[in-house]
Amino acid sequence: MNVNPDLINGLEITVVGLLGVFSVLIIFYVIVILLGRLSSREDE
Amino acid sequence: MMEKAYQLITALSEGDMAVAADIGLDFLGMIVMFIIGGILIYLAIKKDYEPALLLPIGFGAILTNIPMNNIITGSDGSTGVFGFLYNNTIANELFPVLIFIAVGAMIDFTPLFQSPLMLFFGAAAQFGIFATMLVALLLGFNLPEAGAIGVIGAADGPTAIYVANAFKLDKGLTAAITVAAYSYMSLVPIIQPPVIRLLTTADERKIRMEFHQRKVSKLAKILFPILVTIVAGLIAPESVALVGALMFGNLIRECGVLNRLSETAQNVLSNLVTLLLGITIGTTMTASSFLNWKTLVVMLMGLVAFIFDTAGGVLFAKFINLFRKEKINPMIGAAGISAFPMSARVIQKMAKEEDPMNYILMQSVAANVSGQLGSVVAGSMILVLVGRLIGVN
Repeated sequence: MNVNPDLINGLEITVVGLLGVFSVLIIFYVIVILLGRLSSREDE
Repeated sequence: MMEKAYQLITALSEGDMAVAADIGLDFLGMIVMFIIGGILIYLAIKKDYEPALLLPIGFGAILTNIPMNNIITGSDGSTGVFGFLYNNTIANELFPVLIFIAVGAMIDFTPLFQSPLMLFFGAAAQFGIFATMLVALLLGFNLPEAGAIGVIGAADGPTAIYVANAFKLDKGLTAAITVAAYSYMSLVPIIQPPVIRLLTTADERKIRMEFHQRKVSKLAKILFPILVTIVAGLIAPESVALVGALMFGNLIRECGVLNRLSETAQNVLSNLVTLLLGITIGTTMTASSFLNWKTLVVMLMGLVAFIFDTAGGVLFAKFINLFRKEKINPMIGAAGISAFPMSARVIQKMAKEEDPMNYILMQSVAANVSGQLGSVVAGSMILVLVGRLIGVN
């Protein structure tokens, strides 16, 4: 069966891309949590 | 125009039907583009659909289809005014980056600090980008075209233009992507509610959420754009222009000592770039490059992208609820798209329709702000991953 190579690449990009977006936003989440603590310390 | 009419009469009188048919098709294309330009202007004025963009685009479409005009290429073959503008502001990605500075100056990330979990909806709602890319591939578009079409789902016009240009797509396709990105952004109140209703039960839409209002320090708000730029830049250097511009705009907003610059970015810069961006994009909509099946499919793909975005966000929220004691109203997932603040407002309106005492606006705003981050990151991912495959970066 002949599968369009662009489609295979597209599937790969989808998986890697979604993982990438989630990974980057997880890092942003950690940054937000850490900076949030900074603010609570300042308030104290 | 007179010259064309003379050519048509000559061709008809000489019985040269092939030439006459060509001229006739050119004439028909011109009329169709005038109508399309008129529709965009109508939607902008009468329906208030992104008027700042759609009106200049519509007018540009009319302008560029007037026969024998010299706005793109002068009569002596030199570059015309709008050709110059396109080459020096859009083709080199200057305008999308400038718009990002303005957008960054408009965003307040405070709600995100108050509901950090909402960040993940900014990632989940980008599902539409990738799903649409796959659909576009199935429909026969090549990888860079499909990638750029997918980015319509970022609900973020500048990112869509940026990626389309980075992949050196045909001007007509770039224009179609731009028009689709901005048109559907204004259709969020129409597209999202039915998709949300389809995927949620009335009980789920009634879920109330607690919101903990707390002060966020100035230092945190200053460090956030700097750290985000560094992290995004280290992971995907190709994203530096987009993320950097967005975060630079945000930094001048939050630093507290550049209020004049921040106000200029939010108003003067934003308005000036928007004004020229719209009409310059519009002037690329020539009948020969715009009137083809790809344009029609791109317009439909915009709808597909927004539906997938909404579904991705809602279903992710439902998935998270499987593991949480304190349930999340799944509608909030739909606010993870970049259309700010429209999507957050839509979600709050829907929540109030189900339960007049349900206030989830702040959580929706946090998800919506996250969507702005997520859309830039997802656009950058497409840029990086597709770009590396086709050798652009």
